[in-house]
Amino acid sequence: MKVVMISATWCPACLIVHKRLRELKELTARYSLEILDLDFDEEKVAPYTVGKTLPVFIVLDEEGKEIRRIVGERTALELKEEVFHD
Amino acid sequence: MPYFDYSATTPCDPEVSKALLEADRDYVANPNASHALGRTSRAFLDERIRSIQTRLGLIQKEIVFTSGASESNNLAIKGVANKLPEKKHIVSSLIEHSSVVAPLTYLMRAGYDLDFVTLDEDGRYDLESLTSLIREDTCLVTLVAVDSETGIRQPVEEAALIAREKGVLFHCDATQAIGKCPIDLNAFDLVSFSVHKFYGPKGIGGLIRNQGLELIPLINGGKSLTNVRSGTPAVSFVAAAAKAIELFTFDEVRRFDHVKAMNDKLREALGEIPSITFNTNRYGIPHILNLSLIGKDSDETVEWLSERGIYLTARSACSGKEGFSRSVHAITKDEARATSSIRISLSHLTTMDELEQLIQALKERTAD
Repeated sequence: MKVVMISATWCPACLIVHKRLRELKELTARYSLEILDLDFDEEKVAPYTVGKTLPVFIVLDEEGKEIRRIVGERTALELKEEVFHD
Repeated sequence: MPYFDYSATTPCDPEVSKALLEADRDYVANPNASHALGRTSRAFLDERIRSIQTRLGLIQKEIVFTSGASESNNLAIKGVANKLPEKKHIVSSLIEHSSVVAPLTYLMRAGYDLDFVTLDEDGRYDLESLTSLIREDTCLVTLVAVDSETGIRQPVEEAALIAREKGVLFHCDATQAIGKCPIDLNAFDLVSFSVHKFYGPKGIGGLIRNQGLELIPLINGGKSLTNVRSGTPAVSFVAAAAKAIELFTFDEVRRFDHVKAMNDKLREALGEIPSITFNTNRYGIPHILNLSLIGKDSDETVEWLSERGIYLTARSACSGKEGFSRSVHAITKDEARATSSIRISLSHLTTMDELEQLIQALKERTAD
């Protein structure tokens, strides 16, 4: 399963979520996690059509089809429950 | 023009523009040049720098002139981190300007560990939290003096004292404080500011540092005015900065009283509207009044007002892509208020007529 995270360098919510992801590295290592930057990866981000709130997590199945999307800051527990589960 | 976005930027005072143009005309030579004309420029520049230091009350401090507070914040954070590479921990907060958040993100990606001071119920730093977060390997504490969205004045002098007692450098982003509220600039090891926030030109700012405090430069190119920022000294911009600082220090009380009166008037007139709640509390500087129009999206309100020739923002211009105000949420714990907040920023230039137009428009907006 693949997870795409869209964040930005200037975004405080993204900063704290990155810190929480680091705490969850054993769990996230089981997923293919691609981190895209809103400003520096514009072409890759464009197809996902993100809104104003960051970060955005998009969970994709093996065929690359979007299964779910989680928008905004999440606690470590919420990341486990909402993003990184099968 | 009803302009209420003075926290984003201010118009350049005509006296400041005049000082800038005259310096540009009269002091052509590079102040670092060894010839007589260069020495004339240098003498003028040094005199202007002394004026700034005196008026800001700086003791044993040096000013590194930069392109603005964004560069100053980057220089302070990366400059300390790179100077002390054995220490890989930084303490900050989650209400910082994007030009603090972004270098912190950069350093985190490079392996740094970050911690964030929590806010108390008034939206101010919890100093016990700060004390508990500082570690042996902390190289820097970086905290903003005034929250740019809510205007809340943070206890940065007390925070700096805690850092000093633990032997850790303290950087204060004072961009929204200087020229608006009293602040002890000598309390900090490093202070960022931007001149366009107090009626000077865009394109110049500074990083005030303790004399002898070493930083690794962002821009390499040899010594200029200091050893941490290369580039031909911007004589005319420093002259403009000196004039802007001269004007606000000379006129500080009258400017503050005028802004306070405007703020009081706004609170009185808008406080009667049930769907408006004030987010700026008793710790706010009068230059910023943050409020929520419950049920009205922040960005839509900003656009609605703009179409009527009234200009303000929902939040700091540099973080405009987020849909909600973290600062407002920190104080109110209310998502509805955090997504419907607007920031009204006031000036000594704000007139009663402009204020009446804003009040009338907000009444219409809430009745819409």
